[in-house]
Amino acid sequence: MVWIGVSILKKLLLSLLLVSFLFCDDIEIEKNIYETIFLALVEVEKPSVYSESTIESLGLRPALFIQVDSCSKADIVVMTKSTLPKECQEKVVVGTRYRHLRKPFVFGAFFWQKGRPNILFKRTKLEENNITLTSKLIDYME
Amino acid sequence: MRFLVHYGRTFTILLFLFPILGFSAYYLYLKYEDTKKDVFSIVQANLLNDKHELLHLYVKHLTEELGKNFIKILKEDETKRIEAETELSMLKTSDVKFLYLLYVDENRKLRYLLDTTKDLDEKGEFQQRFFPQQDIWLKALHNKKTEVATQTEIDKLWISMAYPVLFEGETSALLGIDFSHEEHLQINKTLIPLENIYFYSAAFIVVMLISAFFQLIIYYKHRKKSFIDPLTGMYNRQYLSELLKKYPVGHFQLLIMDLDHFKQVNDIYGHDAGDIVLSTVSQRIQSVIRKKDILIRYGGEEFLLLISDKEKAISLALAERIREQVKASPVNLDDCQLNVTISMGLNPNPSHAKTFEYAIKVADQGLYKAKHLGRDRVEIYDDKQPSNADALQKLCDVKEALDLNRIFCIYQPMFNTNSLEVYKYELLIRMQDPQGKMIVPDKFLSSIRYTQVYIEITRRVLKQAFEALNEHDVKLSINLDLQDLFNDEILELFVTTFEQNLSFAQRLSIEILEHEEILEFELISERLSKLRQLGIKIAIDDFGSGFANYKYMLNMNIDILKIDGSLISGIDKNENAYKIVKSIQTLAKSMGIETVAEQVETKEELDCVKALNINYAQGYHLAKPSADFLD
Repeated sequence: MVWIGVSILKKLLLSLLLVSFLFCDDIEIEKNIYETIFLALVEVEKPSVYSESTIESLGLRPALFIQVDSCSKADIVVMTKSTLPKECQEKVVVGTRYRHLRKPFVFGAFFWQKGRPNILFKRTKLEENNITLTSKLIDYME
Repeated sequence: MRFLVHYGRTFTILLFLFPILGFSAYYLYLKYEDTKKDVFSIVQANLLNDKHELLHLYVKHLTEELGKNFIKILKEDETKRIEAETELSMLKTSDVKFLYLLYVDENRKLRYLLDTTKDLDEKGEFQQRFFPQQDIWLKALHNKKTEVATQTEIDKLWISMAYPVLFEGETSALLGIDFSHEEHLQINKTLIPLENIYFYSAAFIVVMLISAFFQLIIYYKHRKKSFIDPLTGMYNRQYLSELLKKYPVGHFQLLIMDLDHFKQVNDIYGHDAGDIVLSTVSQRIQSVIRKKDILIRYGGEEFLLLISDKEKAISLALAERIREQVKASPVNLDDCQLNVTISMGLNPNPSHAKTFEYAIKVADQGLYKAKHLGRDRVEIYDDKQPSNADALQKLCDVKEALDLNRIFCIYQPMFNTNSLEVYKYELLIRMQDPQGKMIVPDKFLSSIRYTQVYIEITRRVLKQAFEALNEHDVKLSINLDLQDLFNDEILELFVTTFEQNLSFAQRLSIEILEHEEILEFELISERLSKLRQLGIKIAIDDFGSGFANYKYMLNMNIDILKIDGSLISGIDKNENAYKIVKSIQTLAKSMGIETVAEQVETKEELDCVKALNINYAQGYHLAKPSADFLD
């Protein structure tokens, strides 16, 4: 009985540790990527960001952006669904899927694919809005 | 060294055992990690070999079907792309998470050409940029060789493999396989029994270590407790025994200390008061000794100080400090104050002793000397003096004889001079040496007079007397040195032996001998009265010789005078002796004291004794001392 207890306890501890470490790591990386993208797209010291759905990494603090509860207050809108309300489309929109890039109002996208982070900026959209990326991000422009 | 005494050899062994066991547990863990690595390498190698073979066949098939320019065709022809993707997906087994074909664009960027992934969120679209996380892709491009990377940061993937597709000597595409992390988990699952064996073994060691650690704590808590005398808070004899295992005999000078008149404190004020005195005195001693000296409560009111110094003068000064500190102020009891003094015996050269017990005996001799010389003092017993060394040897011999029952009493009958019937028997102590030779008390008692062995001999004599009185209808006489009356223990022996059997005490008399002149008659009378209260008769032995003189008749309430043998021997021929004995007899008779003539060895001497009306006589003429009573 004691050994069974020890075994369960061991598994539980290991799983908890593993999950918490992995989880923390990915979320933190994601937040940092979002920060880099936001700051590259708007010339605001601390951009306000609106997301249609909850994105956990955007809730992490401290962060170099603030979250707002409506498109009207936002500098940047993070698109999470297949459509976006009209008033939101006028903002700087960042997609969370590769297919979001097909939308004309989307400036760029950040998404995970095959366990790898993908960042893409739409060259045409950036040029339209006179946005210049830093040399570090130029490589992600398509 | 003192560390070893406090914590013992076991602790030291365990001290080394702990890291050894700890390392063993860690070694087991490392072994497990190595085994795990080996298993993974083998599985990984097999997996990669299989896939490498399959990819090679697939590329060969594409080349055969679409020609060597198959990349260009696939880029341009969507139908062909779908067909090729379908064929590629047939290579996707359960262990493969993602399988895809990437091409290199004109900017040397990797883009998806085919992707067998079903999940649309995970599927790379045609021409979509592929963002490599590891450098295996670029390496594979450059080196034109298959590259493999094991994922550590991506939780969904385990191994990624980049297989270069060559066209005209250039790498124009890469086949990519990401193996599922589930495969990794599956292998891990297979290894669980092995992991459990290592884990439980290590856990067992760790649990044992923790358990041993706590056991040790408890053990040493108890061990420390067992070394401390609860009343005084000082070390006890058990600690001394441990100490002696570690230190040689000559490591310390020995100072043995005994509270003066402590028995009276207990008798008069009670044991609680005695405890307060002991506790206070021990604190006072502790306050003046140095940190390196060790104070031990050696017995009831006896303390032993182990002095960490070789200089006799230092030890003497320390002993004096203790003596002064003890008597500096009275001990406060509940309702009174008590002046306390202490006597001490120093053995400055314990290295001369063969054993620690012997060295203690030397210090004890000093203590008895201090007691004898009036107490509240420090005395050194120099065992280097030949006479003292001899005395000590005798002490050991006597102790041995006592332990081996070679000390016993024989009976010298004493006759009524008129009826010539046995009146009583005098108990005469004898020691038999290892060769069987009988030794008379003069040869061995004087050297042990102030030792515990002497008390033990007295106890033995009293025991034999008690048994004789119990078994035979006889009167007995026991010899006692006048000095013995000052000894509380001896007096107590009489009281405890006879107070419950007063009829036996009434058949007992004590013959008091004197070796040194004593003037404390008041104290002696007080002591004698205690014996008289039991019904014991008091006789003065060897009257008319040495110190045994008229002062005793004057100052002590006595029942019998035993006229010294030197006056009786030849009394029939020596007119002066006859006159002296006659005057003694006259005086005794006038005081109501009975008389005994000793050493009556001829008929003429007996006739003289009879003529002088001496009540009793003893000597070889009448009977020799014997181990049994006369019929």
